[in-house]
Amino acid sequence: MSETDLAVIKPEMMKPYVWLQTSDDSIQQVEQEIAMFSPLICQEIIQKGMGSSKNCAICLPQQVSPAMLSLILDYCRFHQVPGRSNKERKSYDEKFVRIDTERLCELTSAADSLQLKPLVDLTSRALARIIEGKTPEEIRDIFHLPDDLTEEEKLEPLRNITADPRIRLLNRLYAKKRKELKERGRLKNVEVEEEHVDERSVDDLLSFINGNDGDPKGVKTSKNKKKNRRKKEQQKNSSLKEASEMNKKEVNGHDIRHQSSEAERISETSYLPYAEDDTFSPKVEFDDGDIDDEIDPALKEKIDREVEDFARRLNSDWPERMQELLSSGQERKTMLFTTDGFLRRQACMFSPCVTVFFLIHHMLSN
Amino acid sequence: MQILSLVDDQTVITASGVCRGWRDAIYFGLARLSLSWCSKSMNNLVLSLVPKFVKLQTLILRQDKPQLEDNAVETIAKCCHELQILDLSKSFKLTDHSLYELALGCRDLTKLNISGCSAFSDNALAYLASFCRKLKVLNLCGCVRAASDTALQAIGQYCNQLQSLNLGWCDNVGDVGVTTLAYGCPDLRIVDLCGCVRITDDSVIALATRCPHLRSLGLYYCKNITDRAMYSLAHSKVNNRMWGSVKGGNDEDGLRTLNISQCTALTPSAVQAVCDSFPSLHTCSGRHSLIMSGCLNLTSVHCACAVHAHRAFTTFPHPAH
Repeated sequence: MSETDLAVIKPEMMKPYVWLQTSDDSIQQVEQEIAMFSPLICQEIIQKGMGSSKNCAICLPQQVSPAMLSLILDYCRFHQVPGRSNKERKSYDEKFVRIDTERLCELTSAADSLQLKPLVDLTSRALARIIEGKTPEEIRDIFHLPDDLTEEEKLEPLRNITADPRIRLLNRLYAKKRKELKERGRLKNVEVEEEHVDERSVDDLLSFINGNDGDPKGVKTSKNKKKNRRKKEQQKNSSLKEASEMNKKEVNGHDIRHQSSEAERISETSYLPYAEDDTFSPKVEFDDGDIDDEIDPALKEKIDREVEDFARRLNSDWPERMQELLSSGQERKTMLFTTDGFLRRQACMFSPCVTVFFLIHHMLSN
Repeated sequence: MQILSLVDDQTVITASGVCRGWRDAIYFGLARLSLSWCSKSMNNLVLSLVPKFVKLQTLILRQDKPQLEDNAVETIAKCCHELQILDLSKSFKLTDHSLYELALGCRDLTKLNISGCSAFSDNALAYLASFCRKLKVLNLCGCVRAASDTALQAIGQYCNQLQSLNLGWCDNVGDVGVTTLAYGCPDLRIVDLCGCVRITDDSVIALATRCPHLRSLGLYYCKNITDRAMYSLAHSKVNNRMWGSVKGGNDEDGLRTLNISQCTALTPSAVQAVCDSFPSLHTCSGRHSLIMSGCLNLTSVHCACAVHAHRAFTTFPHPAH
């Protein structure tokens, strides 16, 4: 372009430029109008008169690399153009922040150092979207952050946010692992005890339930004996952790599944070593003959029908009841249904077969 | 910190467990925290987190089920000396001990919401007022025991910067308390006295004459309010305009919201006088700021714009007519 041509160009057509020096000491020439988007650069130009030549270039903050400056200038150029619709600007902004996390962090830092508030807001929102809903481990991976907190320090914030189901699950898993490790350590040092068998007859059990014709003292003493026996056995087997057992019984050809309570497990003399899954004791068959002595055949038939009906009902709604028991946290209680629909909740102190006898006895007394 | 100000509070707490740098930045940089999302163990959360967030200025602990206990508020008072905004609404379990602790520990409080904290007494509230003298917004809605004339006298005496006070359903509040308040807190802008059945015209007259910046007044169910109170409000506009011209006040000053629902003793002429005095009071739909539901005798009261619209309609009838 010749001097005569330059003379023709009006001053307003000439674009003034400023010189900017980035962190790697490279100097770039940028349109002043665009550069003035940054309050920091604006201040340098107006107050200090910097940037007018290559020799007095405006030194940009350390965070602004040439690549970041290029991105920032692109952003400013787009937003400087008048007449763009909000939809266009929004669309551009969305695409603009679709860059890898590392560059997004650099861009945020650079924009912040240049005091470009709109761009800082935009990149901060993008980073916030990345962080939201992530675990500390995921955040560390995304931003390549050091893992310099102790296990306790890491878990402390998690332990507090008990309302978060994911964290509750995590805490449960940790607890389970700790339990398993403890258990393994214990089992190493423990000799497995012999299995004891309950050799008491049905008559003995029935008389035990009846408690010497309803004598309260008798009942009391038997309870105390039972407590003492339980204490002894607990001491004997303190190192063993019993899993919850499901005892499957047959009454008149119908299966009855019965969840044994903790008290029941202690009173039962057969002990099982700790097992991960549910264990079932072998089916026990017993004869009703002893009970039915001196009973009118019609009454006997009625009782049989009632027991059968009871067993059927117990089987039919077992899954629902099981669910109910688990959800209400009352595994330690046993539900007994009598023929008149009366619901009893009794802390079970006897073995499963005794429970069934107790039920029949209750029917008879009615 | 700007990034974390854009995420939810759960994420902020999780982020404090990422690395030392983040943890320290959050612990020493976080100014606002809300634990209202916590539905089960808010008390434990406060006890373990609050001591670490030493620079907190805003703490929102609104609950649906009462969880907070005195030990949590004690921790807040001991650790958050820069606290300015505190929301403890619906903390039914809190006792006077909490207010005593807050009084000693958080003297910079400007906003305090203890609505629904029914266990607080007026002595404890008076004690708090004597220490937290920077209070500008105080919500005592439903604090039946705490909001008494004794407490209001203390607030009027010590909290001279108070701008907003909610005394909804505090039926122990009487004229003595409200009058003292009006004299002691000339900067009052919002006063809600809904359900304060004991107050009479004297309270409204005191507020009208002593609080030139009054913008919103709630008198719902204040059955003892009569025309005398309304004329006092209408007349206050004239006084305030004269006072405003000296101080350079703008014309937008004056009542913008007035709730006189269920104030059945009022007559249309008195309410119309108030409506005429304050152009910002509207009866027209969409800008309903003069609320008169339950006052069947006030149906003739209309704001200026409603009157103009009515006149315009009658002057220029629709061509179809």
